[in-house]
Order: sequence, then C-alpha cells, then structure tokens
Amino acid sequence: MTGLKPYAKAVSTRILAGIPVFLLVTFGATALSSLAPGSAAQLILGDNATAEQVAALNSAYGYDLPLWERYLKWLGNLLQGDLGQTLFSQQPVLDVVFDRAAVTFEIAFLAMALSLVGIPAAMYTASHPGGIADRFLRSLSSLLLAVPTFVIVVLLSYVFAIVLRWLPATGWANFTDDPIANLWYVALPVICLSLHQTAYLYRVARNEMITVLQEDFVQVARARGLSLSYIMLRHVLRPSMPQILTVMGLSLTYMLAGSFVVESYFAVPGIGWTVLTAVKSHDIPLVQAILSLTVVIFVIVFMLVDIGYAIIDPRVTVS
Amino acid sequence: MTDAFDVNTTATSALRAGRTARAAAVALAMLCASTAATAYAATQAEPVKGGEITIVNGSDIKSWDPAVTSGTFPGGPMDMLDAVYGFIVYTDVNGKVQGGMAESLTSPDAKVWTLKLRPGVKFTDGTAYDAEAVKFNWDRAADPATLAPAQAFVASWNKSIKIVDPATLEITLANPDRNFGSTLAQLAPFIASPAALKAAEKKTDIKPVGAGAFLLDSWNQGVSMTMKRNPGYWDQPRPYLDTLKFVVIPETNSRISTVVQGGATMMAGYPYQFGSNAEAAGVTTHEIPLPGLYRAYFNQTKGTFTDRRAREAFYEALQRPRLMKAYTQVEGYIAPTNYFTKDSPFYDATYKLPDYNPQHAQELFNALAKDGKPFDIKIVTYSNSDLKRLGSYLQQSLGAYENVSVKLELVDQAMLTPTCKAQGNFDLCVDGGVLVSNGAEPIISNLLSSKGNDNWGKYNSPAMDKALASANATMDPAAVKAAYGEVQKIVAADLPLYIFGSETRHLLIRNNTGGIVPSNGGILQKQFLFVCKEACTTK
Repeated sequence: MTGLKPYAKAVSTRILAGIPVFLLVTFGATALSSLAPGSAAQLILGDNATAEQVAALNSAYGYDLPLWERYLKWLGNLLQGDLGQTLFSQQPVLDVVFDRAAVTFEIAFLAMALSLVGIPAAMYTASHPGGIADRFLRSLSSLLLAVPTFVIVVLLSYVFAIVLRWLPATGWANFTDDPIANLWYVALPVICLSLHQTAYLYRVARNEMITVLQEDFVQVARARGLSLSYIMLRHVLRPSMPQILTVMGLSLTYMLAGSFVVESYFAVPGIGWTVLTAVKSHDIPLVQAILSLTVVIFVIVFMLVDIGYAIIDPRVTVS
Repeated sequence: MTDAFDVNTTATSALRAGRTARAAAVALAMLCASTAATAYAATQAEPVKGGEITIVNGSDIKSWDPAVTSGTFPGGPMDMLDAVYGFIVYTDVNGKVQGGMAESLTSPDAKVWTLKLRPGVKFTDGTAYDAEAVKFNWDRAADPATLAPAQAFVASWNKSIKIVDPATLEITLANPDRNFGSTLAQLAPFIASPAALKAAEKKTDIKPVGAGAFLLDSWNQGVSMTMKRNPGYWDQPRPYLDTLKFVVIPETNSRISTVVQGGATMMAGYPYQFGSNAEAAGVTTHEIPLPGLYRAYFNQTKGTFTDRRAREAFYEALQRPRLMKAYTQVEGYIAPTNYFTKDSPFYDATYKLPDYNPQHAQELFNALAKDGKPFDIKIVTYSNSDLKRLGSYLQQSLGAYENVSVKLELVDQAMLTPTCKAQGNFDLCVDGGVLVSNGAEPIISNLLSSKGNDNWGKYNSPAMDKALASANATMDPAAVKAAYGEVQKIVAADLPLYIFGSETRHLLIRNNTGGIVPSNGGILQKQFLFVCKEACTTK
C-alpha cells in the first residue's frame, strides 16, 4: 500500500493543479461567447424574430445575466452533473459530448497506435546510422513534419478516395453497428492524423536512441558481445522512453484536440466537428462542455505521462 | 393514378384548363401536378423501383417545424422538409405553379384562390390531410409566436380562408396577386399533421408526421438522416426509392469528393466549385435552368452608400468580370447589364447598369470627398475561401483609387444575416450564392420592395413598390412586362444592389440518377428520383 501512496499524492496534486486551468479555460469560453457578434437567441429564432422575442429567449437561457453570474451558474450546474441541453437540437449536452467523444477517441487512439511504428523504425535506423533506411526515413520524416495536416488531408483524400478509390472520401459508421465499415471509414482520417505524429515520434526516438547508444553501459554491453537487437531492446529503448513518452503524451493531446481539421474534412462526427459547428452556431453549452472535456483530458494525459516516467525510471519520483 | 411520364395527362390538363379565357391563363399555370415532371424526366430512363440515393449538403435542419422554411438551395433544409411533408404546390422550372400534395390552386381573378386537395390523402399517423389540417398549419404559421419566415405573408390572408368542403379551401386576398401560388410554394408549402404539431411543446419536439413521399427512419442531427419510402404515399408507384439519405458535410471539397467517389449521389453547387471533378468517371452535372444573380447589398439607411454617387462610383470603379474571376477562379464571366438576364422575357436593354469607367469613378470619389462624404466603407461577408478572395479583390481594387477607404470584415456564415439584415452593421454586404432573378416571385419582391424579406440594404422606393405591385396584380402578360420594364428602369436609376454576376445552379450527380425534377428554383421532387440500372444521365 505504501508503494501506491506517492502515486495517489501525485494524482491529487495534478488534479488540484488542473483546477485553475479548468476554471480559466471554461471562463474564457463563456467570455468569448459574449464577445462574439450576434446572439444565440437570434440564431435560434431566425431572422423573423422580434427584438422582444430575442430578449425573452436570452433571458430564458440566462444570456442577459452579467458574465460572472452566468459563469457561476454554469459552474453550479456542472457540480450537479447538469451541463444543460444543446441550444439547437435540445439534446442533453452530456449525451452529445460522450457520443462524439467516443468517435474522436477511437480515431485518436488508432492514430496513436499507428504512429508507434516510428519507434521500431527509430530503433533500426539509430542502430544503422547513415544507412539508406536512415537517410530515407530522415528525409521522409522531415517532409511529413514540414507539410501541415490540412495539406496532407487534401492530398491523401485526392489520392486514395478520388484517384485510387480505395477508401471513402467521407462518412462514418459506428464500430458497434458495423465494425468492418467503421474501419473502412476510419482509415483515411487515422492515416492523416498519424502521419505527422509518426514522423515526430520517429525523429525524437531516433535522436534519443543515438545519444543513448553513445553511453558507456551500451559500449560495455557491445563489448560483452550481446546482440544488437538485444542491446536496443534492453539497454537503449528503456532509457529513451521518458522522451518518447513525453512525445506520445503531446501527440495524444494533439490528436484529441487537433482533430477538427481531419474530422471536418472527412465529415467524421467527432468532437472536432462538433465544436466547429457549435462555435459557428453559438451553442455555448456545447462549447463549454467540450472545452471542459478537453481540459480534463489534457490533465489526465499529462498525469499519466508523469506516472509513466516513474514506472520506467525509478529515479524519477512522482511526487 | 397519374404518371409523370404519361403525356396524355398533359393533354387532359390542357383541355381542362381551357374552359374560360381568363381562367385559362391562371389555370394552365396552376393545374396538374402530374405534368410537372414530363418535360424533364421524359428524356431519362424508365423509373426503377427500389434503391437508395444520398444527398449531401452543408447543413442540417434545426427542427421539423413545417412553418420554418428557408431558401431554394437544392439539398438543403427545404429538401429535407419536402421529403416528409411534400410541397402542397410548387413552382416548376418554367415558373409555373403545379399541384403537389394538393390537386390544384386556381383563381379566375388572382384575388380569390381555390385550393383543391386530393381525396383520401392521409398523414402517416392516419389522420386526414384535409382542409382543416391545411388551415390549422397556415393559422399556426400566421401566429407570430411560431416565428415562421412566412408570418407576414400568411397573416395577410389566413383570416379569409373559407373551408368549402373537406377537400376545398377558398382564400380571398386583400389585393389581387398573380404570384400568390409561387409565393405560397416558397414560403408556406408544408402541411404537417395537426395532431403531431399539437403534441409538441416546443419546436424541437415536433415529430415529422407528414403525408410526403418519405418517412423519417433515423436522424443523427447535424450528421445524417435516413428516410424510407412512405407506403401510403398518394401518388403510387412513387416514390421509387426505398431509401433516401441526407448527409451533412460542411466542407464543399469534401462533398465533391464524396460524390465523385460514389459515397453519395448528389450535391448542389456551381460549376466553378466542381471544376474538373465534373468530368470524372461516373458523375455528371445537371443544370437547374433558372438564372440567378450574384449580388451585394448597399446599406441605404446610413453611411456612404446613401448617396447615389457612391453606388454609381462603386459600379464604375470595378471590372465585374475580374471580380467574378477572383471569386470563382474561373475566366469568362460576363457582367450582367441589367437586373433581368438576357434570356429573360422581361429583359429590356434600355435600362443598363453602369459599366466600368475608372475615370468617372475617380471623379465621383473626389466629388464625394469634396462634399464631406468620403468614400469610407465597411464590406461585410462571410469567411469562406471564395468570399475571402472576393473581399480582398474589392479591397485592393478600390484601394487603388484616391479618396477611398475600405475595411473588410469577415464573419461566420451563420452570423452574416444577423450582422447585415438584423443589425445593418455594414456599408456593403456580400452574400454567397445566387438569387433566382428572372421575375420569379416572391424573390424579386423580397429583394427590391421596401418590406422585402431579402432587402438587407433597406432600399425604400415607393415607385419600386408600385411597379412590383403592378406586376403582381395584373394577369395581362403585356402589363406584367411593362411593370417589370419599370422595375428595370428604377433599378438602373437607383442602383439598389450591386449585381456583379449571374449563374445557374447545378447538381453534381452520379450518372445513374434518374427523375430529377427541380422545383422552387432548385428543390428536388424526391418522389420522382430513382436509380437507373446503368448510366442514364449524359454529361
């Protein structure tokens, strides 16, 4: 039990540290909705609504309250587990967010899993520096890092959906409804989302491994005649993991929070798509809920990364 | 049973329509839903029963409220509502009003209108699609609490509705209106089951219970909806399709890719958006032959454009074909010379819009500055890539003149209407897409009359109101043409709008799509759609 104590302390510390961030971000969302031109009521009611009707709806939703009062009201409801209803479809916000988050999580985790191919590639090229594979993968990763995701999205969509017609240009099927169709639809978004992160992970892992390969303990292992693959797995990979883990944590948050380009282009009904639509339509309860979820995800991911450090390297203390 | 592909019904209708000389002009225009498809679908393959069609669009409906109608853009909210409710009457591509869910809408004098419903039609909840149901829906639309875009229009006549019998309503207008049918088709065409409407506490609770060609099967709001054929549809064997899907894809390029790749059947847009994708294997385009105008609104209640010289200078300072090139990235556009395009029966070459004349434009800019009214404008448009290019072009081109200052403000598409129409917070407001222009009501009155719903610049001219009212009130084609001649004269004199291009809407479709019957400027008659066994639509 004592072994778990530091972890519990670390978790609670990070949760506490995440609270101000959470408050700041959600308050910002509330404030931004006040700064944006027009009102949600106007958009809901349409062009024919009179000023009185708009004012009445604003009052019903509490949008006529001062900013701080509106925020506190939202926070109070949140503590009771009530995030309200979406303004347009009048669905429970939590249902919508969880429904859409499941889609984004699936894409992000699959993209994360795909990007892990960067690690064995890095192990191979780090152990054969200057070789053809090393030079090729360095050039390729530089290229992928230089090309923004929105260009990759258009390019891959053109090649695989329009020219080759191997994969669908847009669409979505839930895994529970049709697993095969789900994988078919998810393929292009996952590839697009993972390419950049694969290249990033590959370069960081390769550089870290090349550094570790210069360490004395690796030289000793080599002198003892251990095989290169054994050395890479047992003596190089583990010391490189803290850096790799950091990149993976950043990648995961990037994939979760930065999925809107991929989702909107491929018409994937995830969090990214939803937040774009919600911002455009001033669906403030939905925007706040998604931002809250994003903050929570960031805090959890970075907490897991910190705990991961400690598991990998006992010299690191989680507290 | 009537059949859209049976030319005999055309003859029958024509005979029926010829009873009285005066009524003929109206009745010919109003009668027989069944003839509507003939001209367009006859050249296509034999309808095939079964199959599925997917229509992609950029946005979804907010609710199933039949009174909340909007626009004429194909594949949009009106298409979704039509699939479930069906147009009670609709305007075909020739501008003629045809019966839809109703059998006919006729008038001997354009003042008293008789709506004849089809016998035995039932909503999908089993209740009758009868005169009481129609009146209930229109009374509801006239209630300001419903927030129907058509509130003012319906409220101007709903009190006069007389239920003659369960299948007949008589509507008496305050003033004769030749275009009553087309206005009705656009603004208040959908009738839902009164029971379903009464059961809903708020708009979002409304269940889509209509008598149209399809039934809602599933709806993931903002993502997609699936409809299945209504087995009790009045016009058997239609609808031909087993399944009709609507998919929301906000990105235009993604919509195009999806159709080209076969993931969807059709989308609406403009040729410049499709580009070479229209030449891809398996797809083709289908023109909806109703010319529309690209336009921007001059704010005429405040600011620079309240002075006519500023509006004239704006026309003369810019080469409109170049502006269209910046907007569409396609060469070859010809600037409209008039409100009505040259193929319109109302076109009158006498009344021209100002042409490119940079020297005179500069003189006007200088004169405005000298009079203490500097040409200092704010252009508002929304932030899609096409309109951003257009905005930048306007800013740069006008910036080349002296005594000119231009600020560009880009807003979200959803915020354009509130910003421009509701708040009037602009000098020049540019909306995307086209408005059908060739005399099709209610669009022209909405755009140019002082109380028009699309008159964002708040242009107010008693002479224009009078000319539009005259065009609506008369049944005499020569008098209509004369009235629209007056409209063109006033447009050329007042320059209420900046008209910078004209275009027709197109569909990008899979080439095995049959039964394309546009109505109301673009909305498809879904009951006619079918999937051909092989390619049946030529490029």
